[in-house]
Amino acid sequence: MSGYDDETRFIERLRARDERAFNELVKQYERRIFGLLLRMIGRRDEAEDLAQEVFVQVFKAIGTFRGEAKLSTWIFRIAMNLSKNRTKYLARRRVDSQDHFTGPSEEVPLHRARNSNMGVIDRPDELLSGVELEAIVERSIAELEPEFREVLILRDVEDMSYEEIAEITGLADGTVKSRIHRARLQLKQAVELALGEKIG
Amino acid sequence: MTDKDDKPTPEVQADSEERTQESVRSILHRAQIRRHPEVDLLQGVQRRIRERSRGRFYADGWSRRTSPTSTYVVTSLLMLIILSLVYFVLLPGVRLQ
Repeated sequence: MSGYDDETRFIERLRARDERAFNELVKQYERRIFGLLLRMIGRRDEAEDLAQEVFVQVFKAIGTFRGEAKLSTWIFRIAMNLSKNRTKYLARRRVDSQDHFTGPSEEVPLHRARNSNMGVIDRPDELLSGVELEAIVERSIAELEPEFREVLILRDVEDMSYEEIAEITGLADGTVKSRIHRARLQLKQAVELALGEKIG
Repeated sequence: MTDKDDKPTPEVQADSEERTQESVRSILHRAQIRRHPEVDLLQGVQRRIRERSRGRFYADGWSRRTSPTSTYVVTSLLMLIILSLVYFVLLPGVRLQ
């Protein structure tokens, strides 16, 4: 039995509103969807609320899923659309987002090396503990503009193809590629500033 | 020198993009950014669907949470034990030889 057949059968069970199949779907995708929304919105409570809403929408709309895209792509598209709506709503409410990455990046001494002449070392990240580096990178991702952040997460965190990202975001393939490149440049620059060293 | 002379060739540009990709992926890997955060959404999702469908879905305890199979097995065994007790203890005509 191929993976394609498995997915087709699984989708049929979802369309039939099989509650156990839907439980499986939630367990299968909850961490990825929550992780995506947490990075897009920056607030754990909002991301959790929105992630639940994504699955409710999936449950409601599964009958309209035609199978032209992969199920995962379809679910991520719903998540991304809801994320954009919620971000606009939160911006209107002037909620201060990005408050969950309270990592130790400000405490990193190298952070003070901003604007100094940068040396180049191969692996500056090896000087930091994993937790410190994670906080720096998460903060740098959070500081990217949303349109760059979304494609970077989908490509470099979720490991999706350009075609899948184009389907999720509704952008042309060329735009996806150029945005990913610009997002990487921005991220690299931000991490280098925080580390005080160029990444090799 | 003109602007045209300053423009990188497609090969140089592709090489630069590849190097940027490698650097970024390497730093994401070292920072363990691919790790997905722990979360448990199932109960909340089930509650929302139950409320919005006015009890049509996830109406009973059997359908909630994952893997209700263990609950079925435990309940079945419990019932068997109770029935056996009733059979052997309460019926005086039946005694183990």
